[in-house]
Amino acid sequence: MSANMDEALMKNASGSRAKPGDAVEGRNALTAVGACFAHTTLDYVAQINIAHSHKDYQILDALWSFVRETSAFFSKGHAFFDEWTASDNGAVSDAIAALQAKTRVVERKMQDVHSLVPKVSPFQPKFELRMATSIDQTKSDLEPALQTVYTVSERICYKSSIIYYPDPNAFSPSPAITVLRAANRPNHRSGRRNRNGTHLRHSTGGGPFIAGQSGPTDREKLELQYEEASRTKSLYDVADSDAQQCDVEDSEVVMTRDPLVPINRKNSLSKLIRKMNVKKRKNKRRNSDEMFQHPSGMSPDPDVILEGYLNKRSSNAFKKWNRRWFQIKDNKLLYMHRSTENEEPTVMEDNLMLCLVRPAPPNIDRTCCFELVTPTRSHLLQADSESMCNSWMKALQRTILALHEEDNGTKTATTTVTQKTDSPSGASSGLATASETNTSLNAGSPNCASLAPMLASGGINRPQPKLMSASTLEQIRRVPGNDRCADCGNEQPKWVSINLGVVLCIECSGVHRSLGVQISKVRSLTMDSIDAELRDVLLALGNRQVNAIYLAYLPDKDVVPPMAMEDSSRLVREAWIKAKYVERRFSVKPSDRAKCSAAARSKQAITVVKESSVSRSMSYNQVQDAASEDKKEDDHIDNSNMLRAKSPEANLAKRLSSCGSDSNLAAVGQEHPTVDPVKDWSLVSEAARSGDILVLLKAMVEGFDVNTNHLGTTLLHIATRNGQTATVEFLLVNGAKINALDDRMNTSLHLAAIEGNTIQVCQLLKRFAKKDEVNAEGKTPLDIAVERKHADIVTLLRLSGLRDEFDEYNNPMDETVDVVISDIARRAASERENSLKTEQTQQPPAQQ
Amino acid sequence: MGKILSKIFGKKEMRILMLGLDAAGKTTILYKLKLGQSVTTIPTVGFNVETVTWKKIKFNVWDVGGQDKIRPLWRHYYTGTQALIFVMDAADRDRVDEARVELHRIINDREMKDAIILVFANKQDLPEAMKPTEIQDKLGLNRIRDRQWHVQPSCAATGDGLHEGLAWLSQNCKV
Repeated sequence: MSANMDEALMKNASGSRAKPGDAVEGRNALTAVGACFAHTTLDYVAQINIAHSHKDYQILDALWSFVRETSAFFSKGHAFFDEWTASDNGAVSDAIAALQAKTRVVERKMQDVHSLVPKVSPFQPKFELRMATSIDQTKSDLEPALQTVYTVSERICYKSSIIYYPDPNAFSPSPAITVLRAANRPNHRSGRRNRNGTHLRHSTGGGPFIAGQSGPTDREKLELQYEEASRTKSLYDVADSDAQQCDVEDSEVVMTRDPLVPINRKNSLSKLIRKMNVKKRKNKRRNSDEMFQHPSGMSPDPDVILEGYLNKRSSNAFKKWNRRWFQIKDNKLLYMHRSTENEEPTVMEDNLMLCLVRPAPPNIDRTCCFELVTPTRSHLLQADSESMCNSWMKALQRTILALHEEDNGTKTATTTVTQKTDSPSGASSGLATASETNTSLNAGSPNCASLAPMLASGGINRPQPKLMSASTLEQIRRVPGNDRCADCGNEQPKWVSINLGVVLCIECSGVHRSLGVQISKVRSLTMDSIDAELRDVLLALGNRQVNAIYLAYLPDKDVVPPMAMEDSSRLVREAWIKAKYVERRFSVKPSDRAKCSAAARSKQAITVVKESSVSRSMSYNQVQDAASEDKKEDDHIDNSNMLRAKSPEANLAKRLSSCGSDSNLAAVGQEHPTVDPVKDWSLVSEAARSGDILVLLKAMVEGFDVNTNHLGTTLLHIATRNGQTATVEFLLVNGAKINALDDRMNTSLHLAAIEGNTIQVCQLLKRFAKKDEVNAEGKTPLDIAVERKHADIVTLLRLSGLRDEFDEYNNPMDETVDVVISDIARRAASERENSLKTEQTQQPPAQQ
Repeated sequence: MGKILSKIFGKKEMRILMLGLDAAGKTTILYKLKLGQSVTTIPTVGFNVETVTWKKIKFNVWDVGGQDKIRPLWRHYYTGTQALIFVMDAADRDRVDEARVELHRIINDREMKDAIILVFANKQDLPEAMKPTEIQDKLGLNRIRDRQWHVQPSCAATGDGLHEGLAWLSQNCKV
């Protein structure tokens, strides 16, 4: 029978894509054979169940005798209560040991039960006959629908029978389910099923065992029982939805195994109930061949995400297709032969993180194929049906995604250690001295403890992922509005625009990336490491507050372009996001916008003529052109624009401009009627001083130029001088020029050195601020730091200088310096916190 | 067997690894080359691989995601790579130094020592885009003397410069 089944499967699998007739024929044959096979298996499993129930009586018997023993013992114990000694205890344990031995005997007997199997098959021909007729009747029936119904119902029943069995007297569906499940698998798998079955029955306690009731070959009865069982079960489900809910959730979890996927309880529940109802209606039309079609998948082993048979194309020259049992387990793809039960699974891919799964290329002449590509190899795999192919691909993709998103800090550390052995030895001396400095620096600081083990192992090669990284995602998610994408409302956003301060879904992040970094700088919350400074910026902003600025004047209805929704197409998203962030259509008063767009329209005629087929943000260009026009009228000519306008080629570049340089942004702003530079300056500079990022963002959205130099200073200078770490970071990611000079020719780095703001020095150095600029007094930041005896800053500047001197392309200093910088930064940050705390504790008495 | 045949018929095949910081335009380049049209992309989780046939040469292009925590995975793709395409967002001046560090980390790996280096200075349509010479300077390519390298300005959205890049690869790669 098994051989027949194989043959049919092979025939079906080898069906060519090009010849649908063959495929249909193959499928029919497969269905027929499969149904027969299912029946045979059903029979077989019935046998096993009987054997099982036999065993269960034995267990009960053993239990009962145990009770008797104990009761005898207790009565004895009562009589001799005063003489309660260790020897009595010994008697108990002896009894237990005896019982254990008994159980073991039972277990062994259980194993022997398998020998029963081959003897049972006299009824097989009858089933085949029956099957043949029934297949004809229902071949064209709604198989897929039924199939899903069965998957779902079975999943619930299966799961609930383990976890949740409220009424022992109710009709137990579990053994029947076991039968059904086992029926989907080839004979040799049943051994495992059995164990599972035992488990099920144990959970039912002393309830009646239906398998025990069914006769050795009474297939009909068994089937009937299953039907009844599932019907009872489904009614039960509907009635007892509350309790069921947890089961549903459980089964969902088991199915997806992705902790990040949200479980919409109510939805899934109602969906399941709906499916249940459908099922009830369809129950009468049930036919055994659906059972066969039923995708395998859920495994009793919790580590296995998906398992089942696939055809695998051999990698040798013959390209033969072989049928193997595959499992996704421990982020690996395993497979084994079917012949031997105890075979160690072969590892096909041991790190799914490096794999790509996609439908097979069109030149493969088989149906339901998919391809698993790795950096070195490519595997072709074939599933038995389209739906199974899809579920395999989905399961693999989910695994790959989850692997990428999990915090892989530890892995990074280990890989860098191995990389280190590859690096040339010449670098090691420099490294050693650096790490010594590093350790000595560490010594004084308590919160560098976690860095110490890494230093001890000598593996400083890559900046260590920040200590807080595990919780950074959670922290950022907790900011109001950050539970959903800022632009389309999708759940579980995992991407962020670091300059806009909004959290996004992957779709919208794709649109943001296409705008260019001058508009939006996109990072992943899971796959990029977010520095502490940047985290603070993101914590200060967040979707709700930023949207309040960008959508301040959102009309109540008839929004043009329409707002993007969770399921919007890419085009809708693009239009919406451009209008929101590039044109800033909703961030200004409609009346003001009218002026703007009027100006833009007057210019439009010219722009349209020049318009080429490529446009990144044409509408913005119009505004921009209009702006530059206005500026010329104001006799305030932007030099860069002038230069560009001189050559025709540059002019083209300007027209294709995506989303403006800083000067362009300023242009829009200056044209903007709401901006009064002088009045704004006091507001904005105060915000920079106090670290109010929202006010800064609002001003910038309204057109304030981040690089405005007013009375010989810039916002960056102010923020740096006042030690506003998050503000400095915010200004830098929003295009503030890091080497801008104030009236005394100081860069921000000079000011940080003067004030002794170690964190700001780190911050500026990390972004490669110029270290050798000379201010009006002829001093570099290093001179100032030495003069003012800021030891940490001197170290930082010197180290950073040392790195620059390593002018070889294999620069071993890069990482070391990064490590030291982040280390000092962390220490400075904690000192700062402490001093703030002491200030706070000191202040209240002072006020009193 | 395949290699002998390809030698007889003069069919060249090249394994190309395309890396770069996140959002540089790697996937857009790959599908522009493969499909000849500009596609909208979302961040790559994992990698993409496509065979691009151009002037009878088969380019096997591997495009791997560039977020910083998954950059350590790049080295798994090094083996057998004949050419590295390093994609730069020419408009992202803030991250040139980060790109430089990553580029040198890649090309200093032992497995990559025979690979030739093509740098796409991508997004040249943006007004702030750096010119090839500036990028060459900022990436520290001038220090590399024992390797073949080339900086190619490109715009993945329009496809400008991409085929010039392939041409350089085919001329300079020893198969």
